[in-house]
Order: sequence, then structure tokens, then C-alpha cells
Amino acid sequence: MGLLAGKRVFSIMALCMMVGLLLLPIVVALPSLAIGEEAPAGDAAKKDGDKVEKGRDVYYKTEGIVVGAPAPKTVDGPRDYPRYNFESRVLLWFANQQHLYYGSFVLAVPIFCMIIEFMGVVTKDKALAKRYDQLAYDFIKISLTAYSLTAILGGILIFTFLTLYPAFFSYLSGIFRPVMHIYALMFVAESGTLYIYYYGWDKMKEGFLKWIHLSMSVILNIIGTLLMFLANSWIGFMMSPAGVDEQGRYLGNIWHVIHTALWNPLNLHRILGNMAFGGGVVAAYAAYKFLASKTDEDRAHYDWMGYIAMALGVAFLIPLPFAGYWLMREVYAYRQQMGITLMGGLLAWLFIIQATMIGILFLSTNYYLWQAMGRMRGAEKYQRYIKYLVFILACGYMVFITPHTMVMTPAELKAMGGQQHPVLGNYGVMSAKNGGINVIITTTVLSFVWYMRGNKVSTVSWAKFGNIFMGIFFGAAYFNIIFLAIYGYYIPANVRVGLSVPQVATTLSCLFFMFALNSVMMKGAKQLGPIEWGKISARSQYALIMLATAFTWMMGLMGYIRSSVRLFWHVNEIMRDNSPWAYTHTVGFAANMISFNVLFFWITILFVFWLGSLGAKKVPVESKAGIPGGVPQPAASH
Amino acid sequence: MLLDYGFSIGLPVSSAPVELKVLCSCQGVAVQFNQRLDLVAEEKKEMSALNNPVVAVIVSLIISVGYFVFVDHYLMDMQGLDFWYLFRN
Repeated sequence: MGLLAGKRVFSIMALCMMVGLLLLPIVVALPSLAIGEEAPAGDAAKKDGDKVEKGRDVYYKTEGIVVGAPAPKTVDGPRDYPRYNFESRVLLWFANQQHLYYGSFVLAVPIFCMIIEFMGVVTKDKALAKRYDQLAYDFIKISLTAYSLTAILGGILIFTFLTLYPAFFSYLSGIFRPVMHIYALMFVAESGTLYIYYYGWDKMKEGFLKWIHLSMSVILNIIGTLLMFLANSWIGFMMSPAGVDEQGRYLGNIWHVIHTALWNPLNLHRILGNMAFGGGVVAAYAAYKFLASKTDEDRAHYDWMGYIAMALGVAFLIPLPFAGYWLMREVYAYRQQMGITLMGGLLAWLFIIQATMIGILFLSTNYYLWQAMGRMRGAEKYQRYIKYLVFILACGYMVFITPHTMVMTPAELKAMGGQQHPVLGNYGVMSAKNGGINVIITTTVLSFVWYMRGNKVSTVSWAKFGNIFMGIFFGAAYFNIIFLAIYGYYIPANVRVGLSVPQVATTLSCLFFMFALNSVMMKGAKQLGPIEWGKISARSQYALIMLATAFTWMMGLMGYIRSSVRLFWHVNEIMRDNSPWAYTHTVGFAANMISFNVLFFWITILFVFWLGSLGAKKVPVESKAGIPGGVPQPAASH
Repeated sequence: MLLDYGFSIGLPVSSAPVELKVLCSCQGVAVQFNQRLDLVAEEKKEMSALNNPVVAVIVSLIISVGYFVFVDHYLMDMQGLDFWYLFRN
């Protein structure tokens, strides 16, 4: 009793400490924020004999007292751009990308842990709850090793900035001075919380203490998310500066500097992207362990782990293109020219590659789900329809990746009769592409629904109506998406641009309504057989590895596109990049660089996984007295 | 008699016994029970009508098409755009 009370006190103290850590940066920052806004202005006023200079915010158009120095006008030389005998931009690109990969991973995995731990706490099946808990623990263990590497890479990134781009870094850190130390303290809070969360796992595994532990994961993720939002404000400022005048002088309102035009779309896009990426990496880890497993028990465990990670990753992948559309829309709203550079100009071909990668992600997901149906008795009934899904997916994919114009020789141009192909050229416009991607996502939702009901037969009295309704709803959704895509060709561009919203709503309606309806129909359903975890083809695991690699590659690509759109500006329209590398690389060079980053990340993350496995205790395999050939079932349901 | 009534509308035997004990003690309650059974029978009839493939297809088509037309119109209207642009011009 005394021990339990002691544990409770300890747990509550730990939770309070975490809340304290969360609030610490804000409390510490309050006085400095106030001083940061007024002290320099006060000093300036004294020097100029009470004369206060005012400036107009370039974005918010509000007036403010100038409290910062103008953006430096750099010149190509050792003072502003010191260098090694190598392209500085490539070195910075590498350091930045690796830090981002690891940062995304360690921010995403604790969110997974929180979800899985919560599932473990609320589930009534004790054996299943224990497995969920173990899975969450396995996840955080992987993340912990990666966390140190993230911090090291962050240090390398700062040193790279200081060494190769001192003028730019000095300006940026000057602008963000009021929140720079908040970021550092947030990092301390994140580390402290993560360690308490990890090492307190065993001590707080039951009852009230478990809820306290779960609350800790919520705080951990709040800190992690705030950390990411702060980092996003820097890139948001570089793309769409605010809070400064046309000379780049800080006007004293840090919220304007943080809350730029692209900050919120970037936040949403990045959080979804991180989650999808984290799910992909964990799924690939599980796939690797599955392929290397020597026992049925291990295969069953890693098959289940791979499925959960993939499902969580894909759950965040599905809304990701819509968040991307929002970001692009805001980019167009901020500077139309920037949007045109991205999607219709210099960087347009990179978007074709991006479309190819998105298509690969969804094709891999569908392929995995179809393969996964093989481990359920009763799912054979869907096998004969899969070829139709392949056809629909292939059509959507081909439309989605068709470029608007081609790079051609004069002879080819003459043979084709222009830059656009007379037939295929029609598919290179957004109207068709919106239709293509929505068809792909809707088909993925349909595959998921089939997977969820693979080994079940609904027993509700209205099952027949439910099945017919689902079929017709999906059919009507496909019809609506394709109709809107075609309709877009016949109406003016200013009306057409709005059609993407009902198209997205159609896809999301399928996702939410059909998942909900399916869940209601499958409540208390008759099971045709258990899910035989571990009895899945090796091909499915390669699909998971493919999924993770495609995620990693696409993240690198999109980061490059987003950064390149500034062209020859460090800070868009405020601070010019005068280094010799202020040009846009060729598509081939960029692709090679991204591939190198992806390869490096995967080699190092394998090292991290290997390090993690060194600490794992070898559990002797107990002889089972159950049914011969029986495979333990980690989860009885999806 | 009530039990017979239950059978006549196709209720499973297992659904009635608990409530039957209460029924036997009071005539008024029995009347209410009769009314409830009527309602259940109505619902059953509706359900079986919905489970008729032709009815199910028609009802599903009406709901789905109606819903998507509403979504298209409303979401375009929300953006200040006219979904029926082509048909009006």
C-alpha cells in the first residue's frame, strides 16, 4: 500500500515536472520578450534624441517601431560566404535534410506511442492490451536511440550555418532572437520528458499510474509539436517574410514574424508528413525483422507491428495531398509568381516526379492490403475483384503523372504537332490530375474497407441494404469525381479552381462515412476464421520497404522544391543570396542528391536499429503445448 | 396468445420470454406490449423492404446522388462560385 502510494506521489511529481518543463520556456521568455521588444527601441530612441523610426510591415501592412538592423547586403567573398573547396549549398542541404529526417522520425514515433498506449489502456482484452503496451514500448525504444542522433545532427546543422553562411545565419537569429532560447529550452523539455516517459514505463504500468504515464505522452507530444512549429516559423519567414519592413528590419512584433502567410499550412503539412514518414520507417523496420525472423512467433509479432505502423502511416498519408493543396493555394495567394514557378514553371517537372512518388505510395499501400487479405480465411471472395481495382488505380495513376508539356527535339515537336500531345496533353492539367489522385485515394479507402471486412460476415438485420448502399455510394463517389474532372474542361478557370473542394469532400466522405458504416455493420459480425498473423507473403514486406523508401525520397524532394522556390533569395524579396550557388540545380542533379540523402539516412537508421537490438534481452522460446502449427495471434481484430 | 402473435410476425422465440412474465400480471401492460409488437413488426417490415435489392438500390441511389449534388453545390457556393455555371449559360 505504502509502495503504491509512493509510486503515485512519484508519478504525480513526474507529471508536474513535465508540465513545468513545458511551461518553463514560456515563463523564462516572458520578461525577455518584453525587453526584446522595447529595450533596443529605447536605446535607439536615446541615441537619436527621442526620435523613433517607424517602418511598415511588408505583409501585415501595420506600422511598427524599427528595432532591428536591416538585412545585410552580402557579397560573394570569404566574409559573407566562407567555403571549403566544395559547394556550400550541397553541404548545408545534406546537413539540413539528415536533421529533418531524424527530427521527423523522433517527433512522429512518440505520437504513435501515445495512440498505441491509449489503445492498450482502453481495450478490454487484457492480453491484447499487454501486446499494445509492448508495441508502444518497442516504438519508443527505437525513437530514443534516434533522438541522440537528431540532437547531434542539429548541432552539425548549426555549425554548418555558422561556418558557411554566417551573414545569413546572423540575420535570421537576430530576427528570431526573442524565441531562439525558447526553442533551445523546448528541446531540453522534450529530452527530459522523453527520458522520464521511457524510464518510468515499468513503474507506471497499471491503474491510475498508467493514466499518468499516458498523460506524460500527451505532454511529450505537445512539446514536440511546439518545437516543430517554431522550426517551421523560420522556413515560413524565409519564404513569406512578415514582421519586418522592406529593408528587413525587425518591427518588434515577434508574433508577426512567426505567424507568416505560410506558417499554418506548413505546420499542418509537416505534421501529417512526419506521421506518414514515421509510420513508413517503423513499418520498414518491422518488415526487415519479419524477413529476418526464424520463428513463427517472431513473424506473427512483426507482421502485426508492420500492419499497425502501416495503417497509422497511411491514415496520415490520405489527408496529406489535401494539406498539400492548401499549402499550394496559400502560396498562390501570397505570391502568384511563386506558385507558377512551383507548378507551371521552373520546378514543374519536379512536381511530375512528386506525382509519380505519391502514386507509388498508394499503389504500394493497396498492394500490401491485397496481400494482407491472404492471411484471412474468407477474404478470397474479394480476390477476383482486385484486378478491377488495379485497372482503376492504373488509370488514375497514368492521368496523375502525365506532364502538360514535354521536353522534345525540334523533329519530335514537328511530328507531334506542338508542345502538347493532341490526346495525352489533355491529361496534363489540374482538372484531370485532381480527378486522378482522388480516384486513387478513393480506391485505397475501398481496399481498406475490404480488408477490414475480409474474414467477417455482417449479422445485422439490414446487412443486405448496407452492402448495396456501400457499393452505390462508392460508385456515385467515383462518378462524381470523374464528372467534376471532366466538367472542369468546360467552365472558366476561375470557376474550375473551386471544383477541387467538392472532389476532396467526395473522397473524404467515402473515408469517414464508409469506415463508420462498415464498423457499425461489422459489430458482432460472424468471423469466418482468425487472422493468421505471420502467414503473409514476403512480397508484402517488400511493399512496406518500398513504401518507406518512397516516403523518404518524396520528403527529400518536397523539401528541395519548397526551398528552391525562393530562387536567388535567402529571405524572399528581403535578403538576396549572392553566393555563387544562387541558381536552381538541374532535375538530374537534384534527384541524385535526394537519392544520396535517402541512402545515407537508411544506412544510418539501420545502424540505429542495430544499436537498439543490442540492448534487447534474449527471451528463451517456450515450448508451446497448443495446436501443432498454431501461430500466436497478437490481435484478434483490426 | 401473445406468444402466438410473436410467432406470427416472425419474432424469434428467445426475444419474448423476459417481457412475457411482466405481461401476464397486468392487462394494461399487455396492451402496451401489443402496441410495441406492432411497432417492431412495422420496423421489421421496413427492414425487409430495405433488404429487397430493388428498393435498396433505389433508396441508395437517391441518398448518394442527392448527397453528392448537395456537396457539389454547397461547397462551390461556399467559395462564391456557381456550380451550375455551364447549365445556366
